[in-house]
Amino acid sequence: MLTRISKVDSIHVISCLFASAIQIGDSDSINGLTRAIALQRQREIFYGQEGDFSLFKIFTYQFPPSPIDEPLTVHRTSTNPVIKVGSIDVTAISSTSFLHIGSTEKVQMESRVLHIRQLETINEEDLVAEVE
Amino acid sequence: MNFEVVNHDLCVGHIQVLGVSSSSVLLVGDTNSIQLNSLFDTPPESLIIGPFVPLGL
Repeated sequence: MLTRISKVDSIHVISCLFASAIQIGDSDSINGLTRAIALQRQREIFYGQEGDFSLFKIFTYQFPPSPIDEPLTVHRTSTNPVIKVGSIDVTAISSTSFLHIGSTEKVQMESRVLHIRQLETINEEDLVAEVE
Repeated sequence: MNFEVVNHDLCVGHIQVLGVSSSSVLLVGDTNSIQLNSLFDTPPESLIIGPFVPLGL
């Protein structure tokens, strides 16, 4: 594939974390997978053995097969071989995300997030006392 | 199917982004294909009101 040159004058990123990357230059393919259990508890409790992904269906669910099998012939012509960007300002790149300056062939990304909140039982006597 | 693309000048002054997260891509360049899958689940049991028990029980 004939690709263009990417020209960025300045990049400013504050944080890049959790298997994320800032890639400057071309790449062949980008492949990323995020799995996260976002658990919020009313009190600060963590049982050390928690977080087994295999216990939750969301992490084993198979996506339906991708519908990209169309025979397609693409003809690209670039009158200007340069993509110009003055400046990029990103506050945070997180959870297997990419800031990619340059061209690539194929991008495949996947994200699975399970969100749970645990609240402590409200003692009914306390509630009655509060109302009174 | 034939697909004809003509790329003319592409010039951007400033890109300001707060966050790129959960398997996302901010791409300055060309690519042939992008495939993105995302699952976000807050099941009925995602709000658990009761005594604290370890996850998965």
